[in-house]
Amino acid sequence: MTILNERLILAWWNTGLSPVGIPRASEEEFLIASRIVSTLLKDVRVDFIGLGEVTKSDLNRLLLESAPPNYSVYDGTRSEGRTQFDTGAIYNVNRLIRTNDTIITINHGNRTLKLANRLEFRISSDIIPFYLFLSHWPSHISPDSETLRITLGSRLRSNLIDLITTYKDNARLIIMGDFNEEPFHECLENQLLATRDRDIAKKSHSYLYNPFWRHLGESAPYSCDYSPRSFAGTCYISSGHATKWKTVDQIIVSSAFLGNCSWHLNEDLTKILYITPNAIDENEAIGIFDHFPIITTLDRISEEEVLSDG
Amino acid sequence: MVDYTKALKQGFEAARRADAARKEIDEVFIELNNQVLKATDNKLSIERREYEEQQSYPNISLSAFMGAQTINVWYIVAYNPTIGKNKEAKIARWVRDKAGYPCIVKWSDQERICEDREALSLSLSELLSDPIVGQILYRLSNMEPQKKQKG
Repeated sequence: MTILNERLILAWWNTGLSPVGIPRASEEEFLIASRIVSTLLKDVRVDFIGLGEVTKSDLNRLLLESAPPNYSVYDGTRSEGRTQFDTGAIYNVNRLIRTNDTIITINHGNRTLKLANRLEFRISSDIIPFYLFLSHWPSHISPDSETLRITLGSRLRSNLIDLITTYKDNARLIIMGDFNEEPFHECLENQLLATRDRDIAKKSHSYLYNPFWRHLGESAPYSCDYSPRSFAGTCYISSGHATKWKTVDQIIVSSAFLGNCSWHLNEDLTKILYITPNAIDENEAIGIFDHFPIITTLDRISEEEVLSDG
Repeated sequence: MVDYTKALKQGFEAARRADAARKEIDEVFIELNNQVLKATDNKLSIERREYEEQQSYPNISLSAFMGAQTINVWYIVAYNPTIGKNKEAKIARWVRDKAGYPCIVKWSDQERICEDREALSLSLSELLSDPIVGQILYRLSNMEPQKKQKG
């Protein structure tokens, strides 16, 4: 018999508040963002939310307006030449002890690319650390952006290898962000080795599992007599031709969470949250909001021995 | 049939490129050291050095769980040649790929993956201008050799 001992809920949301560190939200839009973060932290009970397209000031205001008192900010924003890191996080300090953080960049000549913010956390009940990577990779507007994203996937993979070599099946890695590519793209599937195949990921700690393969299509099935409101991804691109939807926001996990340690991925509670109020209505992005938040849940399970008579 | 000839040629070419990259990286560090020596009147030298370290785990119980292992780790170190190498300071971690590039410079809360010579030179320049690293280098370059006691 299995017993749920502990639950950790992690989220990612590309807020759209300040792309490349340049604030653009009106007061009304900021209040909408505050309400969304508040819903995630207080109602969904998210322990950690990675946030994209934010400034230090956005992070501090969101903490003040939206978070319970036991939450703190990780400010991962930084200016590196012409490159602006626009990622950060708000997390529950009662549960997560941040023991290290690093900003990882790739430098090509005088050009700097954002690879990830790497955060090391301990959960008070557990001795083995969790490594959380926050990424916001270059958009399709950047020149050569597809080649860059392929390089980013390969370099992120190299960065994970040290941790996988050290901890093997117990490497607790969570990679979240807006990769500006969908799960099937070369940069994620072949470079980062984030597979759709749970069996492969479970058997070999070299692979990561990407549960957002399951969220590529319409959220609700169509039938002639019932046609509910449905969304087909994490991001709405009004200029899209064959599709206006893309699943570019993903939370990817290591093999450890597929039965190789006491923490297990809860895939029922790994999903896109269609909670952006008034933001995406009748398939039109309103104002600055074009991404939905996503969550994943990790459950710490123990096995209880069943005592039998005789 | 497997084309071993082609594979062999690829291996030779990769070895040649790796060798060229290693030489280029060595040149960057020689240039860095020459400039630093000149700027400090030979009171500061910077080079790469390999250390044998115990694999570090978050706590003792985990070390017991994972087993003690030693690993070889490279650092960029600074020392004052007038004092000797016994007072050197590790200012960054150094990781080089088998192929030469990318190489990685890690210090403070930064990890820079350098894909070419220019990127490496710029990263090393930023390392030297980091305020905490600057403090270490300043202290080292201002150390005076201890006078030998008579008697």
